[in-house]
Amino acid sequence: MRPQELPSKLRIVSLGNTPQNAEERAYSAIQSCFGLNCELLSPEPPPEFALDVLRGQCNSLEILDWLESRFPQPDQWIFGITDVDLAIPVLTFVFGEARLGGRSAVISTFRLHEEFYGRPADTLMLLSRIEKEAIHEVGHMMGLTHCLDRNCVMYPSNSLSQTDVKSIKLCPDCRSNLYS
Amino acid sequence: MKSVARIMVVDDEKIVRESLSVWLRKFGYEVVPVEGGQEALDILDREEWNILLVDLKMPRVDGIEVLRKAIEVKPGIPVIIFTAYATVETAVEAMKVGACDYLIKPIDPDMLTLKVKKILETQNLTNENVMLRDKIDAIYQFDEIIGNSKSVQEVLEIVGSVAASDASVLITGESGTGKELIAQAIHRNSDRRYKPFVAVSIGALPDTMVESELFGHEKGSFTGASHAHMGRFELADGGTLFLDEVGEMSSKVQVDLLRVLEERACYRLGGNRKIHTDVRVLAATNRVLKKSIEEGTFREDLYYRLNVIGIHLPPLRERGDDVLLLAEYFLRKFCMKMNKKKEGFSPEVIKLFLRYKWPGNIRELENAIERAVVVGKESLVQLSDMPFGGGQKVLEEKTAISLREVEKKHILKVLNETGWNVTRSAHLLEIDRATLYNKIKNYGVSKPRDQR
Ligand SMILES: Nc1ncnc2c1ncn2[C@@H]1O[C@H](COP(=O)(O)OP(=O)(O)OP(=O)(O)O)[C@@H](O)[C@H]1O
Ligand SMILES: [Mg+2]
Ligand SMILES: [Zn+2]
Ligand SMILES: [Zn+2]
Repeated sequence: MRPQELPSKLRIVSLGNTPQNAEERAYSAIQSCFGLNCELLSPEPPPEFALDVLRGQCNSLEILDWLESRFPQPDQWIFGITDVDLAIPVLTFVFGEARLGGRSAVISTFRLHEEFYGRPADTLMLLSRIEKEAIHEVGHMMGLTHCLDRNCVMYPSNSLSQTDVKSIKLCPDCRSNLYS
Repeated sequence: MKSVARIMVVDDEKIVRESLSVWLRKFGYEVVPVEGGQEALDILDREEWNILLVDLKMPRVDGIEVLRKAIEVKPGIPVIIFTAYATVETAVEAMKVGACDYLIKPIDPDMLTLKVKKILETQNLTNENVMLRDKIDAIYQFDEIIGNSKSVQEVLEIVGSVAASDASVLITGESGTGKELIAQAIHRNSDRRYKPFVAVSIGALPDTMVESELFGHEKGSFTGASHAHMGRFELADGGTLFLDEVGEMSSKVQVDLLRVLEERACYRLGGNRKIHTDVRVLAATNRVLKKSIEEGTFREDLYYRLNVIGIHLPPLRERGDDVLLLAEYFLRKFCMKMNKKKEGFSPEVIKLFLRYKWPGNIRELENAIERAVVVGKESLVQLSDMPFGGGQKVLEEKTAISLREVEKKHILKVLNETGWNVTRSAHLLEIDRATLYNKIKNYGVSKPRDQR
């Protein structure tokens, strides 16, 4: 499902108390991987509207709806970064969510911290994971589906070890699918 | 055009079928959300489907009924049932009716992906990428390691990726979680597989023996050394040395081991010939070595030598439904071995399996099932065939018993759980082995006949 056309701009917005430099790192990673024209927006509050109180997680699909209505310009894409834990109703959690071939995506830093797994903080690791997840979700916006190459950034990761194993790059197959 | 897998997602809740569809489409599958059992049956034979994903609880036509009709109309069609936790038993029932798998809501996305992928792979609906990966994975044989839980699958993934290297691996986990099994799997999937896998259990050896076991000794090097003796390092040359219970090493042995690992060579006790060894070292412990380091009983430098890669095996109680898979596996294994016929487990036993804490982990389960196959009379394994069902009651019956009696019973219980492994029991009881031996003798505790 390919997007109709590439955006004039991809806008990046933080939702809540995201780690320092998260947006900047996502910005340069996305720009250098896809050559998209990016822009950083001023931060928005955490997405409390999407909170599922019972699960203590936010519904990522509702966040996408919200982003699309808050930033409605059809020729611009909107990319959110949040520190809340994300899930879609039937799944336990997701690192991020994007509309396949659509104009919105969001990632969560919640489970990308070493501290979440009871280990000492590691800022470099955290930022590199943010970059990978950001590129992965933008890949979906660009119409890419999951890739079976464990080292490709489009490999689906639902555990940190998978995120850490994969590279920050698109494999040659995915790269050629991108422009085909 | 490569053919695209088609998946039907049936759920009366819109949000559920939509979000599952969204998720699966990101894998490039064609997904058709369907809002009820009847609607599913209506379109079932009009089109080709690779997988049906069906919610168990739906008004009117429920998941079981969809399942029944589906396998009637299209025999062999893979149906995955998903359900909320409260209805696990029904899910087990669904498996009996013919579901190929089931998932518990909220669904672990990784499990979903894995199960769908596995089914599609068997259907040959694979593109070249998959075939390539299949070829790579084919050398990894983990047939005998049972487990669908995410933690076990992750362990196998690590095993697959480290097997080929020569890196040291430290395997941690409670007693009976399969540390040795994993060590063997690493060996068998490495290039060293045609060379020996030598295991040495350091905790089971008296301190003075450890060095001679590991490094060997020359004739006459100590009283009683009437012959020269090859150490395990030499025996394992070219292969893999498995150091079990490394947490039990004295500080002297730790120093010597570290030196051997660094120099890749050793000396026999009482000898001065340098023996070069090409050995990959795998180590295991059920202790938390980080804590031993803090307490000063384990060398940090040795720890980093051994723990180049760490693999942690979770206890059985944290592996969810794996306990049922393992139970089925052991039941088949022992039935075959003892030439008996058993159909499965009674619902009470299944309930017990899921609830019980399994302090002795997989070994305890294995022993329990072996026993059940021996003593059970009916075609389904009954609660009364289980060692703990009765054992726990005994303790509860009479409350006014002496401390001595309580201790005796507790020791007996732990011994039974570990299959009478004294070292392991001593660990669990947090006393040393000599003390445990003395208590066994004093209390006159003995192994039940059917476990000998
Ligand atoms: N995932 C598994 N699938 C099938 N069998 C298993 C699995 N894990 C363990 N077992 C079996 O359980 C028993 C105990 O495993 P093993 O001896 O490897 O445990 P261990 O962690 O080394 O225990 P200990 O610390 O007590 O030495 C063995 O018979 C092993 O084959
Ligand atoms: Mg062992
Ligand atoms: Zn993805
Ligand atoms: Zn790729």
